[in-house]
Amino acid sequence: MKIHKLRLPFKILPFLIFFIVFATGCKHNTNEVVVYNTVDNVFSEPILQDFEKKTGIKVRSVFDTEETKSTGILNRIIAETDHPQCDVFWSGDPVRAQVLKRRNLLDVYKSLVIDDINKQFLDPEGQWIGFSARARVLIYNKNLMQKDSVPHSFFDLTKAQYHGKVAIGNPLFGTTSFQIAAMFSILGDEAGKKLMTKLKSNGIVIAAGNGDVKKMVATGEIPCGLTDTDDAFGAQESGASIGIVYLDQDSLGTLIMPNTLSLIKNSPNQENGKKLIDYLLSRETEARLAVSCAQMPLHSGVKTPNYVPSLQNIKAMNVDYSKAALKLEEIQLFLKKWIEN
Amino acid sequence: MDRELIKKTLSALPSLFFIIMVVLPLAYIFAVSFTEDGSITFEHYLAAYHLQTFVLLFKSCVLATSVALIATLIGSLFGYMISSTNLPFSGPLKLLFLLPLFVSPYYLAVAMHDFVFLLVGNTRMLNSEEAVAAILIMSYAPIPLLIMSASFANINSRLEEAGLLVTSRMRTTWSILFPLVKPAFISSFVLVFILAISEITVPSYYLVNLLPTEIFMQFTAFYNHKAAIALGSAICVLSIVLLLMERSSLTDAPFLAIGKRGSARRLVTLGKWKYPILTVAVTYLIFVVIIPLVGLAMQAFREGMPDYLRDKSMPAGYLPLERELGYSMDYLYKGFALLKPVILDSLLYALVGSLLICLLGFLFAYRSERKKIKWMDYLLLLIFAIPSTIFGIALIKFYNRTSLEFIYTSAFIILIGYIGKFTFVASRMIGNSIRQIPYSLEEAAELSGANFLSRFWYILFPLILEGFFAAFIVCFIFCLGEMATTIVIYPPGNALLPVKIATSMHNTPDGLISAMVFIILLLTFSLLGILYVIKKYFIKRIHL
Amino acid sequence: MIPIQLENITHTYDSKIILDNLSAKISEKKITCLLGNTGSGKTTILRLIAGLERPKSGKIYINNRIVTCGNEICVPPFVRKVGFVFQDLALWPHFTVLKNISWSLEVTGHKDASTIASSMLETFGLSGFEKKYPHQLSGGQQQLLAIARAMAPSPEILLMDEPLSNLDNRIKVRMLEKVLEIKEKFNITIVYVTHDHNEGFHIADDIMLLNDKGKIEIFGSKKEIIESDNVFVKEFISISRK
Repeated sequence: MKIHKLRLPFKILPFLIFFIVFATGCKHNTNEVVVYNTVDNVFSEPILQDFEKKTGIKVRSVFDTEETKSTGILNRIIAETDHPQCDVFWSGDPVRAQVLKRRNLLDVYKSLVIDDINKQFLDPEGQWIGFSARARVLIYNKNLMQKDSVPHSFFDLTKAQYHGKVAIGNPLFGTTSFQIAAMFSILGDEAGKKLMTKLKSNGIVIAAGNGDVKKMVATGEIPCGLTDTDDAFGAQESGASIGIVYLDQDSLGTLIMPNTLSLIKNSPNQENGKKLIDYLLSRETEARLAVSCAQMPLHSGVKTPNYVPSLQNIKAMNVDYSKAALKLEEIQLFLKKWIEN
Repeated sequence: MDRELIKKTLSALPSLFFIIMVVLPLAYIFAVSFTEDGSITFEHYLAAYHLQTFVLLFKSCVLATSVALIATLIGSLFGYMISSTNLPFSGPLKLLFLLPLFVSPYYLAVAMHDFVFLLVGNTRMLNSEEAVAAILIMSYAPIPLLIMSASFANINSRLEEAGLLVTSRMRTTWSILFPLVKPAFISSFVLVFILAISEITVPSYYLVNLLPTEIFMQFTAFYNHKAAIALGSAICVLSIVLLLMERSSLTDAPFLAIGKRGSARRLVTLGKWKYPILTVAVTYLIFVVIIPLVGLAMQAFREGMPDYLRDKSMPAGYLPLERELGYSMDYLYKGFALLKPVILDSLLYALVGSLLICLLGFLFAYRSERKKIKWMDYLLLLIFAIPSTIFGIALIKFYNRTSLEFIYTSAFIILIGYIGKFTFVASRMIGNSIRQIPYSLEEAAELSGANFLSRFWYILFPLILEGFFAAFIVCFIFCLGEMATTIVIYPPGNALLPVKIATSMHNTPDGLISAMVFIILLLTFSLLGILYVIKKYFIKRIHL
Repeated sequence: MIPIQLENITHTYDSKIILDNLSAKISEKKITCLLGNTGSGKTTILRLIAGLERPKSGKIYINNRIVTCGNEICVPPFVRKVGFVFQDLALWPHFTVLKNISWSLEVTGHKDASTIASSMLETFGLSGFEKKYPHQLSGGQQQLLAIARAMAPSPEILLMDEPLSNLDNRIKVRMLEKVLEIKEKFNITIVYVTHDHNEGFHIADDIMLLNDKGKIEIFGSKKEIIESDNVFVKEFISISRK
């Protein structure tokens, strides 16, 4: 048994504790804007910092990520309903904005910066505005699949030759869920369910998320899988031998997932919030996101690196985002059962 | 008379503080979960509980029970070997055994996934309850190890020697040693059970559906807070049942007194078993610690894609195919630059948080052990068991109002989150230490006229310091790694380390993430080293 | 003046009655020995007097002043001027021998704590052990240290709870002599708890014998007890003699 004896300096410890507790108190600023953001902070933070520098408005942000399924931010905004803290909601896809819209938490804001953005990417009621977009793509491991045997349509994935060779993220979450909802809203419930059942019986592999699909394909665990362009480029950047296919170019088109911006209803810094939204919608921001994470600009004529696809070159799926989001809520129980069986 | 009143008020103050700060918010949202549009209803509960839920509850229970049992057994076994036998290299071994504590189970799950893939080429075997259980056992085994080895080390050898005079080593170990460490064993079991049953990152990564993942899904897919809370109440009920079972199996008999003439603990000689046991320990460590750690380090030191190599007109990744990627410090520098703005804040909050937690934990443990006021234990356990997201939402709903905004929009909310989540752990660990100090030592001080503060500071605290320090370290590590609640409540602009990593995870190369985890590990280690040196410097040891 | 008076004390533990409506007066400057079987409530009485426990009902007076009234402690333990020697001695293992005595003086603001402590050690024959730790002393020396610590603040009453139960017979006898010496030297009231009637009869002036129902079976001078025909007394003495 060891026994200890305290030396004198230890006696000031309690005072130290209380000093630190009070020192960790609050720091506040009046000219500020609060943004809740589901885009990775590596990409969004520099942009927000530049806004701060240019306008002198302090940006305080809450980040979240697809890895935690963005539970944090969305549930937080919902929980804060009675007393909103967040001014601007920057989402990596329209699904989440749509959830908030359905709960009547968003304000209408018609920015003047959006004149040349395709109406498809704007909420008809003006509660969210799309900008810089990703696309849903198929990636394949070049060592495991020859270019000519790669699937080119979503419907190809049900073919016997791809049995057990395709991975997909958890269809209850994120962009994967939206892709399926979009298919349902275009094909109708009947055909949608049939398609999903076929995929399942063709041994589709369900991964935890898009990031895991990317990883499985990159390491060669699975020959190909569905994911987002940013994951695909990320995998290539890490040195993986991966090819990218934009599916259904001669039929339905590829699903485009724009970022969205919304103003939260009754938020504390509405004016600053609008300034931030205008700033983020600018061509400069889109150009920067094109460089940093290969997102496609929605404004026309934004200069981008060569490898970033342009909306002029790929056929976008013609989907009504609001309707697809509604459809998503309808089919969630079906999808939950689909995974479990 | 007044003195008495003041004393009572003062001793109730910490509990009052805890109840107002932490319990009230939870009570509030639980109450709300019984309402819909202003009227009282059970619909959320009726809708949440059907056959499927009970199946999940059962599955979760089985999983948590096996994790808790096996982890505690492993912890006891190695704890005994390290603390009580002449096993060689016990110091470094103990350090290695504790390593998984520093890494969240999620990273271990990812590391294991990569390792299994390397080994067998596919990872489907991981999508099972057994795999989840294995990861959780590896992650949580250090906790029983810590608790059990402290408990073994405190046993007076004479008790064991008395047994050895009449029967064999095996029988003595079984019938003398185990009953003596039973409270510690049960404590570990309860702790690990609760950790295991509320853990979501591993089952959701391995796509295993359990009750906590179901609760999580109510948040993520359906945004249905009331349903989530209704489901969460099952876990609360379960933990209360567990605590009641624990209480009934443990008598409050005074347990282990410091020997007046305490003899130094004699180490058991392992004899021919020495090297086989060492081999088992090392093999275990290789799988659980070395492989994931080496994997992490290899990724962290991999060469990133330097910007100057990148041809801006070509797709990213075009160039590296031309040559193999080597090793460099790129990712570590980059990772450090990303983490730099939040490191100080994170360490400060974790430090302050764990100090407050240990202080409160001590006060509650003291009331429970010495004054036999036990109701606080139940509350602490309950809050510890509540799924993190529910706890976070409760704090938002309660504190996000004009009058309490100064808490919600400041670091205080993070501290409250930490306190709510981990005071149970501290009170448990410190309580075990207090139980081993005879009350008469304090009574003697009381008769001398020492007030509570002097009694604590001069008598009790030095005697329980080892346990207090262990609790502090564990809480510090927990606070530093806490993400599930923090990510829901952190004030805008105050991201902390784990949140920062998680929110960088999606699009950054694996190497960078590994580098960040690696940096945090190094940071935690060096800080613990410093704390240890401080502790050594300030404290003179007397060996009894 | 009556140093200690118990009035209708009832004490329960987990709804088991330990002391049942017990009243007694303890005489000044004498050694009163509380005898009884294990669990008869001897130690409880001592702890009640010290103020370490509160009774369910009844009153306790020290020097004619009410100190405990029912469930209420009116005079906190350390103001009662009692010294207490615990069964396990309760020596603070992390303090040196000297510090064990001086600390208990320091906390109440004694200015010359270490001087008093040194002279106390001398009185008890522990000089030269100042820098040692309790576990480095022999059993008898630990005993002496515990008594010295209790006596340091010069209490008017010394309460001793089976202090010699861990010692062998030879040392026990020597220690009993020492207790008698202390009583003479400091001229104080001592209440001494033991289950061993030999020990009790050796040093006691008065003896209080508790039965197993939480009541006093008999209370009187040593002579009275020895001569009594009480069946319980005879039985108690003969059993412990075996």
